[in-house]
Amino acid sequence: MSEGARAKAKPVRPRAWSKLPIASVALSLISIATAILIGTVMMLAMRFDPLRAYAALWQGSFGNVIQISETLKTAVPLLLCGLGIAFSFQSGAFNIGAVGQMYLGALAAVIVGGQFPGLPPPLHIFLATLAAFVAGGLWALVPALLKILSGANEIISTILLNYVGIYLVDYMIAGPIKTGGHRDAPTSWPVLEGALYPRLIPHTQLHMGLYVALAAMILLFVVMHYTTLGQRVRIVGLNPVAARHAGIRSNRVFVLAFFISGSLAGLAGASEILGYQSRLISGFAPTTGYDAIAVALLGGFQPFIVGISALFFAGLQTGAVAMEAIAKLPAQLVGMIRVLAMLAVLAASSPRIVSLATRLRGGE
Amino acid sequence: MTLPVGAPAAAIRRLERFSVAGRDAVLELRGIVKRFPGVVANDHVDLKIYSGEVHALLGENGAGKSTLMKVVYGLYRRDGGEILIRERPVDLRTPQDAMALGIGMVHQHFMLIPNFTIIENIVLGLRSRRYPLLKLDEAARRIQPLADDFGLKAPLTLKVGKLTVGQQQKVEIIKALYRGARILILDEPTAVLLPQETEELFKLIEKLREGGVAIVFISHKLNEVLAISDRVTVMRRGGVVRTLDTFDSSPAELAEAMVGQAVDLAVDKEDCRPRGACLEIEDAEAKDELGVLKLNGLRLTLKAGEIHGLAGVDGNGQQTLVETMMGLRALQRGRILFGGRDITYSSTAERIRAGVEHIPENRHTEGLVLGLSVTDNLLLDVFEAPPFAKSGWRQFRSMNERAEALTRDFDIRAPTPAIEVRKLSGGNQQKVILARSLWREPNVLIAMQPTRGLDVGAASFIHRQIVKARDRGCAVLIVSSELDEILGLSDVISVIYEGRIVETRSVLETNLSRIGFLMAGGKPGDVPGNPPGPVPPRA
Amino acid sequence: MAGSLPRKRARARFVYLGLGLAALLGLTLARGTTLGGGILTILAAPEFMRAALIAAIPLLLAALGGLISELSGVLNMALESMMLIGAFVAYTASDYAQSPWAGLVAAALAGMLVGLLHAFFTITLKANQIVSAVALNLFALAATALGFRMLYASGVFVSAPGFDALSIPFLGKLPYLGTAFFSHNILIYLGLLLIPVMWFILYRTSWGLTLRSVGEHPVAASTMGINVNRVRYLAVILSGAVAGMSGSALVSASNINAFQENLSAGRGFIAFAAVVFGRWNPIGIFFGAILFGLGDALQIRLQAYGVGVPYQLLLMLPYLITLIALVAFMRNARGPAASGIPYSDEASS
Repeated sequence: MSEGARAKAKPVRPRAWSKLPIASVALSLISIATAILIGTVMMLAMRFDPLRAYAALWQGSFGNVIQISETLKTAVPLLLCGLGIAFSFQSGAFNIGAVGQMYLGALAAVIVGGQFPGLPPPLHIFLATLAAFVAGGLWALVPALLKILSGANEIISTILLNYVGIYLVDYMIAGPIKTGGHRDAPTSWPVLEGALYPRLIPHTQLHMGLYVALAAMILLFVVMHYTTLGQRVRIVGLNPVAARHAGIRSNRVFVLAFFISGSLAGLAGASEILGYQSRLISGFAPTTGYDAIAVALLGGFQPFIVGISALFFAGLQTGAVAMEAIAKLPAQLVGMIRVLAMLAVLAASSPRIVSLATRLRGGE
Repeated sequence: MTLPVGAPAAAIRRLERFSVAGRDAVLELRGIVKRFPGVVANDHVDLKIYSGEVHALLGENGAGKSTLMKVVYGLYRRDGGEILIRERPVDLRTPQDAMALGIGMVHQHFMLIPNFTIIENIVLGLRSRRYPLLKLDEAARRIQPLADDFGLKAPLTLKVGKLTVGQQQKVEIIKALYRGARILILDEPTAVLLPQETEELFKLIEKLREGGVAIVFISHKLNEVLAISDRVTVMRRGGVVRTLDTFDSSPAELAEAMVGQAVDLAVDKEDCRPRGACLEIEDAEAKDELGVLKLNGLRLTLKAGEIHGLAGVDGNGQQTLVETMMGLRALQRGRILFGGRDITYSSTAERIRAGVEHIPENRHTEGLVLGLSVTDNLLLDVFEAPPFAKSGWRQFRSMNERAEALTRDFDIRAPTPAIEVRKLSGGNQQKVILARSLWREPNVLIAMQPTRGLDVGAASFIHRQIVKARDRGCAVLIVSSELDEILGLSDVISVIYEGRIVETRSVLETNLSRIGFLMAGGKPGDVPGNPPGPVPPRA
Repeated sequence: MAGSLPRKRARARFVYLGLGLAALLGLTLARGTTLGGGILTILAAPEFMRAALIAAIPLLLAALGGLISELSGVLNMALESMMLIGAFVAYTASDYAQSPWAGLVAAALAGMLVGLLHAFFTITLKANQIVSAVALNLFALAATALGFRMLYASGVFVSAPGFDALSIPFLGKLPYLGTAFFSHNILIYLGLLLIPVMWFILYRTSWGLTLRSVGEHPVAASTMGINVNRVRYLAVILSGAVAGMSGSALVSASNINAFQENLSAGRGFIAFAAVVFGRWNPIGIFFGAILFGLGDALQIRLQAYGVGVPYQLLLMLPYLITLIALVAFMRNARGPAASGIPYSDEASS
């Protein structure tokens, strides 16, 4: 409701840093702090030494080169899936199907990576990664098309397809693509040497997937803020009806955004398989897709902050192993802290709290 | 030629001055204050209403009339002042308190649940004698006499969604009376009614008045206020300007009080000089999203340099027509020709590029993206093309320059075009949409409810811009439920009924009652001036 | 508006009936094959119907809980979390108190707490309803895993006391129907009883009218003096209670009457689909739950029977059936008009 004299407005050139919502970052930090606080209380209640536990957590996640590389390695699929979820959120829909899309991506990567011996490595890597990209995208395409064509709720259909995807992978590795030997823990055939991602730091498991993830992060940021595609996605996400009235094909944009979101999850699957696991086993990434939702939420659905958030969650994960070994803490407790962080972010970013905070700050 | 907008229709006026003698003051407001963030909606308002009185609250949109009555009804908490019911101060916190004190309110947008039956809507929130069991048949027995009294001919077990607007309004009134309302507040009751339904409403009001019910009639329409009220309180910018006896007042006096200066009640325009046909719709048939046939052999021709008004009751196909014209909905049959070219299958984007623009009915849900800046909204339909984008990369400098120019030319009051459009007032938001549709000088402009909810200043600006576009050679289609606006602005008026154009006539050869008659389904052949038949149920 | 919708629905039902009959016919013709013969044998056995009903009850309860919440306008996708936490609490409580009833009551209370959380996030804080549900689901997974590990670290499976099977005097002895329908435990019958009870409350009491009004048109309801947020809070908490009890049913449905990690495995979402499938009324939901229960029971039996289809593909069956049903029936589904939209008390200017 602003009236009155118009200020001498300079043309506003968006700079990268002005896109980072400061409030979002602050809220994320507060949420993490709250989660740590609650975690500490729980530890004390269970008669564990919090200081020792947190020290072990730090040691395990960022203590030395090996641990750092472990953390980074763990962050890669979280970041890729998180970026996908953030992007789909911008378009107005929630892609909860990252689990299924990741599995399908891993499946495609294993199939293409395990065949075609004799291909030159760069080409083989590229093809296997591309296959994963497409597979993940296609798996996301199904619920998107179902939504457009029949109005089926995409939340439910993506979740249902998650389960279908998991069982599909199980079937494949016990059947068509299995390798001989272990009966009780079926594994797929191995990925050929030429298709594996090169290691970045010798004697660690950190692989080229990190570059893929970082590239995706930067690319997404650029697309969202500087391209017409990004603008189209934002418009459709904010008001698909007005978008249609302005001539934008909301349905197409929605489907495209979902596809890309699924492809990113597919890339996550590829990075796990081609990066270090080198063969597909049942339940190779049981919760990554769901954890990525927390990552995206904590990251305020903004690419660079999602990156930081992925690092945080990865740190918790690698540090948990050390916590269990050194401070004798059950790993599930760390899992709880992760979830508590998510709940804290949910509360902190809710409209009520935000408006409360704005009013306290004496804002407009 | 000038046509007065808002001129009083028939000369139904009060035959005698209203007298306070022998009446109780059923409602008194002393110094009511109500604030919202950034604005004082009610600024120390005083008001006194007597039993059996029809008291009008007159003012522009945003003057604070609805807010005031919502405070009385308990929907808002007052920030200052007191309310007295029958001379006793009361503390109203919820609508339940208000209802218990005998206050009933019929809102501008009906508070009825379409999926529930009439009875269910009326008894909602009440405790039956055998609480918690619903005893709908008992309630029906008590409601039926009221329904008969007020001429509601629908069976009480019918779902409200299937009633006409006039019938729904009667349900709302019965709802209030069933709860023992002795003070009835009507918020813009005629906004959605046909002229004939308005007459029926006025008769109903008279009946209530004779029964001793006090009625508060909120409106921004001068002629109606003059016709029905005993006294009128004019509000402006949250405060009371004056309270006068209707018997003594004139349209000019009231208008001046409303706006604060002598108001030219006319839309100035030169004679229309139409050039050839610009957009033609031939034998259009189309269904809406529920699969109901909404356009049934519709034919319409828009001429360049002419303002074509479309009058009709909501739901007779206007929405669907505009959607098919803009490519938002497919035609089952028929064609749309633009300058002779068949664009029936062109996409919305293609039509916009070709010079067909529209102002949608609902600026918040269809016209603007509230979370984006004014700049983004101004360029919402062109941001992907040069000069605002080069091969997918957005060109911010060009965007900002254009946005600056547009905010200047269209008098959009915003500190900078970079702020979120949601922070603008309703009038300025509408100007953003107007700017967007006009700046590239389109060949066709379709305006749906272009001045709904706007104050006189903004509405008049938009009218002037539309006339300017017409003079430039644009073919304009105006769809509005404000018949005053259509009569005042159009060169040619068509009436739509059940998906067909009933009649098209120059504005000089038609009038309000003729249009009202046709809107209700009357045939052009029947002599206008005969009392029209009963309003048929909504399709 | 009249005429087209019922006609479409009638046509759709006709089509699906036709499809069902065609499938049955196909099966009969294929009875020579292992798969066809296998399915027929399974379908014909009374134990199958029994198992289907047992599998359907947790879904039914969860879906009924979801219905209460949805009718008030709050999407309840946190059903999965309420079910899982309810199951865990039912197991531990009935084990501790050595009584299945204690488990049931505790599960209801636990579900109410989860409901309270969900209500707090979505109603008071006005957070996105879907994100809140996802967060609670993750929370349930983590919390139950942690709790299970803490309390039953030994890894030995302890069966908690379960509900006894009732045998209804005369009806229980009937040939097919006896085993299939009349010899269940009391929880099953309570679940079935909930259907007409809920129907009555929703459509014949003023509580039900108030609840539905809040979901259809909260603004209108508030002008009638109804406290929208309070009704929604109560609805979500109540839905948590019922969904929590579904967790108890889940434990009881497992053969060993015990809990394991992620026992619900997505059934909360299937229940959510059942609400849509049942078109937001208790009777329809019953049919939805039965359909999905059938899928569940069929898949287990097919595995045991050994029909030559890899078991992993069979595991997909319930989810695929749900997906297909969802797509087929979502077309004209109109839920409560204000579903999913947070409500603000005072209109801002």
